[in-house]
Amino acid sequence: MLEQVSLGQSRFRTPGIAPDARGVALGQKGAVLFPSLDRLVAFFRAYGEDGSLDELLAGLAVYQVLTPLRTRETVVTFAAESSYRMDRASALARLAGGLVFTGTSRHFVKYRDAASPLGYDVDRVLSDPGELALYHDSFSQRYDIESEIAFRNLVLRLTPSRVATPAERAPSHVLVTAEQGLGPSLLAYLFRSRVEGQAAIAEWPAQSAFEDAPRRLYLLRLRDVPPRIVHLLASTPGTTVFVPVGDGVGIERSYRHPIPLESCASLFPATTLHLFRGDGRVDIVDPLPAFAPIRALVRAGLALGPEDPTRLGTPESLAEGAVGLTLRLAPSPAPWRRVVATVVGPDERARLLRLLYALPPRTLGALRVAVADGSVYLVDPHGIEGVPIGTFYVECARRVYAPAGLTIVPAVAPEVLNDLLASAGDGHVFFDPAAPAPRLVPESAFAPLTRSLVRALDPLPVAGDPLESPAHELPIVEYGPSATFPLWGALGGKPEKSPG
Amino acid sequence: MADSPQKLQLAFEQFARDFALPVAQGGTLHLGAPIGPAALDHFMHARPSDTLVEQRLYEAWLKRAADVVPVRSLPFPEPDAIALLLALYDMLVVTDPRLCGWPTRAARPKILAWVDSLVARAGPPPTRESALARHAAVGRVLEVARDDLLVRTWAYTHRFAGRRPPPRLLAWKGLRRVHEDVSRVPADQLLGFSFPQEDAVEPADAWLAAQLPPRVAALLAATPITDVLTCARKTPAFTFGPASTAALADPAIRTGVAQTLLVAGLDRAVVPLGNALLAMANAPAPPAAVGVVMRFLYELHVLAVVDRGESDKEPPVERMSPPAAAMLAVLPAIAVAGGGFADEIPLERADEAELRVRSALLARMAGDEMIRWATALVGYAAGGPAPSSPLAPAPAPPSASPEAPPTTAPDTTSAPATPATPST
Repeated sequence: MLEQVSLGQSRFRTPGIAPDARGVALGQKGAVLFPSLDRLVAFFRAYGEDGSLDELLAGLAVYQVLTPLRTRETVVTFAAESSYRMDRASALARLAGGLVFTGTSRHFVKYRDAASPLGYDVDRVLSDPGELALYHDSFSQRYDIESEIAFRNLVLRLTPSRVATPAERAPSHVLVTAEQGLGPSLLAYLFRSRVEGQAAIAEWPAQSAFEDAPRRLYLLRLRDVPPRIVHLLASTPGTTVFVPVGDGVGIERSYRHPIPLESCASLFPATTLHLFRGDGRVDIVDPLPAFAPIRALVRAGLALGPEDPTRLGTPESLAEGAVGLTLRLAPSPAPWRRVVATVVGPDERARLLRLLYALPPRTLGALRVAVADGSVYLVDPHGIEGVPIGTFYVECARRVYAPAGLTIVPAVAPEVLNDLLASAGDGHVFFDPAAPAPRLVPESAFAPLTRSLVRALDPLPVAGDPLESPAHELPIVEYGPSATFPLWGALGGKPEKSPG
Repeated sequence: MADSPQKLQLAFEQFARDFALPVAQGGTLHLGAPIGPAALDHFMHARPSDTLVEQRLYEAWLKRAADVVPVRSLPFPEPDAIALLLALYDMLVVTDPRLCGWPTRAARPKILAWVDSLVARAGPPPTRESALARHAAVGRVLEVARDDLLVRTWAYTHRFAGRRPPPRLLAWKGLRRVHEDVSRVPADQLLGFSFPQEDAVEPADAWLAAQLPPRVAALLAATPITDVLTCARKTPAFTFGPASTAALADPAIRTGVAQTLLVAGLDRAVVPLGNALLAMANAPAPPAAVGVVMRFLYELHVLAVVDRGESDKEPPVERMSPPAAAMLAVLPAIAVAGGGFADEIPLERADEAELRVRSALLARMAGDEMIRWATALVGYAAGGPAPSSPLAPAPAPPSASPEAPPTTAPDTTSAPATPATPST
């Protein structure tokens, strides 16, 4: 049973309890008992919304405890500091369904409430307090600590919840991650849209033996982004928009972490970046890579001069300029369609050969291959998605290919393109951004991959006999020796008589 | 005085090794002395001491059962299957020509009485597993054959029906001008359904031809899966009896039997199944039994379309006889009348379209009159009035037996037995 502390009382039976300046019985620590982990998260959320969790983090410990009946509960302990902090924690913990105690080492007695403004003391301590003993007016019980939950791990493992975010309330400062293939196009788009920002490449080591390359993501810090661009980036597959909630932490747009991350900024050092995704994953960038302005990363492709069509003012001069107009490649924001070819360079040939062992029969049977100029040209009219290496090519016209993400300018019709490349005949024309002229691979150089790359085998003859097929063998009757009296000695002819 | 357990176990070992296993796997069946029904009490619980024999027997039975219904295990030993196997053993013992003479022929009626007792003891199968075990054990009853040997020398001619000649008769083949002529006696001749040819090694045994066929029919009625799967046999004529309708009421057996019939070729089964359907409708059988049969025939048609892709292929019927038309009319009739049968097999849209094509084709082949009759039969199965027979029932194929069918033969006019259910 608990006794109410009276004014001026200076001696207590509970170890580690002493009156503070206001006479409230207080230990060095506060403890809150929660029946489940979600109640604990609710407490942290309420505390962080109203104040800063950083003030609790210094002495904070979260324990999973076992009662003598082997049920699990959660206890959080923190430095009490003063009865003012304990009052605030006590009010929020009661809201979250917790019971508040104070103590110093193992014995924790119920913290003060309206019934006893100066707190409580025990009439006698438990003889076997275990690792933790809690004294309440309705129970006194020992607890064994089963495990300790690090607060940082708790924060990293909680899944953010989705919240509605109106488009007009898009944040002006955002963090954006983009897959590696999207990076250059995204930078060019942001540069054209005059969005100020910085970009870097974050890199993580491969997480399994199946990944033969480290994971890389483009990381962008954008300022004063128009809401339409934020909405576009958030809805584009491969790019993720994060809203910064502190120096080193961001959470995916339209999501909210169960615990206010800005209130526990000490968990996230400024030299790192923690990105909380909506699906629960957390990308930790440690250390931060070097950022560079976006404008410094975009290739300047403007070629002003006599060939600039904007300078051609009169139809006559336009006609004069058109004589010397050559087909070139230009970046294209259009989605990739009819990606039917890939060119694998010499450095990736070994990977290609390894990959061929893993391809399904349909993909392998449809591939046609040509080896020319050290590169391997692979063509599949149904789509080259089955071979995920090399430089992908889009078929712009019949047997005319341009690298994916680029388009041939001027944007002439496919029939015109074929007419312009009439000298190519039946060959396959591959435009290469690094080469001044497209490459022509003759049709005769292409052959089915399975017939050109797979070596013939000389089977080793082994002796083998055909298996017997007992199912088709007929049952053939063969009688036993004949007897003059067949029933003599025949079994089962006479029924067994009962002993009675 | 009862037989000693040691003798019974010894006989069981021989029975399992030399008879049960060759029946399942093929090979030579070594028959010995007849075995009476009193031995069944020991045989139904006995296990071969040779584990290899036991394993091979179980594997052969399981394979044969799993060919029909995808089961992973089988009750072993199944008492009723052992009883039927013993009955088959005794039936084959009776076919020994050396039992025709005096005084051995006096034993034949008693052995046949044992057969009747064993078959009656088995009765219809109560569970799905029991039906499968019976089919696995005696399913090859109509495949059993006998090799007869005629040995001619310069001086004599020796006849050996189902026996090997002594080596001395075959010695000095060149000098004694020994010639061996082997002729195979198929199951229908061996079991008395048809008479052997005139130049056969053994002449026809009229008494046996009168006694054996009814008992084979009773044996088939006790193993309904075998009964339906061998419906294309000439004799005994196939009918939908209480045991077969009870077995076909089980969805797993019904689908398995339909698939097996399709794999073996539906062309030979169309007429016997149509004949059995006409006979059942003319009886008339109870509506529940007719419903089971209609459900089975409808599933047969659906599987022919869905599994075999035979929607626009005409069934290979030699000539459109009334039984064939009755069988083919089931699909268009259910497409017209419904009766709840079509709803039991959910189909994709493409398959439904294929089924409609097939239904129109079969409707043209069967004719309007037969379609109306089959539609009335669907209504009868759903609780409507009995249909009037548009045709006289097709005559059953001639049986080799001049005697009346036995009392244990399937009776289509009686109510179906309790549908087979999987045992727990």
